[in-house]
Amino acid sequence: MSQISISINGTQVTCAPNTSVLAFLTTQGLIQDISQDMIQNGMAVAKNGSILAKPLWANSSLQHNDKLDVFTLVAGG
Amino acid sequence: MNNVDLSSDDISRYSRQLLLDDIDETGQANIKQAYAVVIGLGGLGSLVARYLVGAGIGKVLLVDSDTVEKSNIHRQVLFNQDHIGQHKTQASYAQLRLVNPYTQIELAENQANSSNLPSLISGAHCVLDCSDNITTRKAINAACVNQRTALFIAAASQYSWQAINLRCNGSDSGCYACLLAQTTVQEDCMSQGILGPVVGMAACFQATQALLYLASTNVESGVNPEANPSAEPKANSETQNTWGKYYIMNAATAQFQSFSLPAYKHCEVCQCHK
Ligand SMILES: [Zn+2]
Repeated sequence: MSQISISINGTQVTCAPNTSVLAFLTTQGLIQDISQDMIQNGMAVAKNGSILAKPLWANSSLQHNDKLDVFTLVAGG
Repeated sequence: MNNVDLSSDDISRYSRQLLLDDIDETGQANIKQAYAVVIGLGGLGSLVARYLVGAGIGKVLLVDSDTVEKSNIHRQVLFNQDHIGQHKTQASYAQLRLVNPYTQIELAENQANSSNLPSLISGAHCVLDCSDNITTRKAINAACVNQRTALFIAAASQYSWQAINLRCNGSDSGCYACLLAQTTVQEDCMSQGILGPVVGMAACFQATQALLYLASTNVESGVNPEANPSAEPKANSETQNTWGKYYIMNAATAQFQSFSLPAYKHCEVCQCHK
């Protein structure tokens, strides 16, 4: 198949097979609510319900029907 | 078995929580012998300390170097107008003494850091990270991993609160440093803003989890049923499957999420302790 379907924060989108999580997240314009600023400030990613450490984003490739959740870590108290 | 008896005052004081299967008299006796360290007396710690002391914990150490400011009062429920300018530790002590005269309350007027944390948490049955910045949170995590102390973390910003219960017991679960792994986190509620009850929800979750853990742990024998499966578990315990899960709640939209946190194999904090 030429494109795969994945879910990000509950929205279905398509991308090329084997796109890395990092490449996917930084694809300009693909996900409008993920800004470069968010990547700088505490952005965390869970892939299929499991948090993916940031150093692994570049080597984790997306497969059809993968589910990503992107959120921002907070530290206040 | 636990050889600490509950007094008749205990029975009446804690009667409502004694009705709970996960507390009952055994759990209450465990709580009565327990020692927790609360780091930070802000929106999280002031409420956490109130609930731990109210629930009859044997001993708490409250760690904070700040004084009460007017801008704290909307969310830091132990403090009122009369406390402005006082050390948070002292003001907390005065309030908590009135809540429960039986808890041993110790104070450390320190900013927790990597140098003093190993001694601050020494001997604690659990630590509650109620701090407000990443540097302190990293240092607390490292100290707890080193001493294999159960750690209850909560944080909040704007309308969102997050929490995780960690226990370094050689499992495949990660630690707070695994969660961060090169991620930089924007600091604190000074710039982001926070609604009082949102951080209060985080504190309530954190205190609930810590109390259930302490109730299920016989600190004299060091036996926690889950940590040691051969120990006799409490009959109706349905709790404590919450270790290593990262919880996120948006209190404005009521969206609740939970994710597992696997160990990051290059983590410099927890992976060298395996
Ligand atoms: Zn780790």
